[in-house]
Amino acid sequence: MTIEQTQAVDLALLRAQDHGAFTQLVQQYHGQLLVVARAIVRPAQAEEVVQEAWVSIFRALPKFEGRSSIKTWMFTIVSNAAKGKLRKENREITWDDAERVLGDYLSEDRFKSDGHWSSGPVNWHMESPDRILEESQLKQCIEKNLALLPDAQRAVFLLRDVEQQPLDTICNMLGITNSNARVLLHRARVSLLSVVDHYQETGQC
Amino acid sequence: MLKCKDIVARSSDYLDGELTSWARINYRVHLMMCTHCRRYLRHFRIAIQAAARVARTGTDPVTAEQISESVQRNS
Ligand SMILES: [Zn+2]
Repeated sequence: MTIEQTQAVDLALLRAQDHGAFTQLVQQYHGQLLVVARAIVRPAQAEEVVQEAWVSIFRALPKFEGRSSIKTWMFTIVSNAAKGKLRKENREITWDDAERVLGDYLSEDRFKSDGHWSSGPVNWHMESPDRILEESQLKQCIEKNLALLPDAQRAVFLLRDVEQQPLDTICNMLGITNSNARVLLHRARVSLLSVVDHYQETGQC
Repeated sequence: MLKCKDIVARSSDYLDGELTSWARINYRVHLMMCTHCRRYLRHFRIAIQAAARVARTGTDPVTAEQISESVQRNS
């Protein structure tokens, strides 16, 4: 289920720990918090970390001062909980194939030996995000490939391009360097570009 | 002189304002002269925006209700 326009949940109701408002918050952010947790702990632990984080969030809501946005505040709670779990186990963040890129958009034969395009990007017939999302098969294809992104890439993409967090905030949350974050973000974006480009060219996922 | 390959490699840094002002000027000069790279960057932006909207996925209401209830029971 895609929320096209996320309405902001009423802060006053949240501070009062209103059941409906809190459920709405869970509905909007549970998936996102899981993505962030998975970038730090093992997938099996991520679920547990997020469940516990929801309890912390619920308890702390009356004291939420609104100095940062509520989503930044929640992402920070989750990433701290996940990092705490790692420390307890004396482990460091380990990423399997975090640098993997999907598709072949950047394959060597795209460019001539002088570094210029050999034939250039293909023409697209769907030239806007709206147009792309109307194509349900392509939308499903993007959904499927988002899930295939390495966890760290997916988290950086979510925090930057979906939630518009500044890069240095993302680095703090995930405990990574600025250059790390930039590489992960670029790989994720190029993979997603590959997916859209391949579909535009072939009509297939 | 930047090559098309460099334009692609630095496209995220360009979008995120992570290039120095000099690098940014060079980047723009290349874009002005190169239709392929202009098309690349346009596609890159569109794909990112579309994927970001797909990624904004909510949890199904039933699961959300279950989590919400168990949290409030434990608080
Ligand atoms: Zn070029």
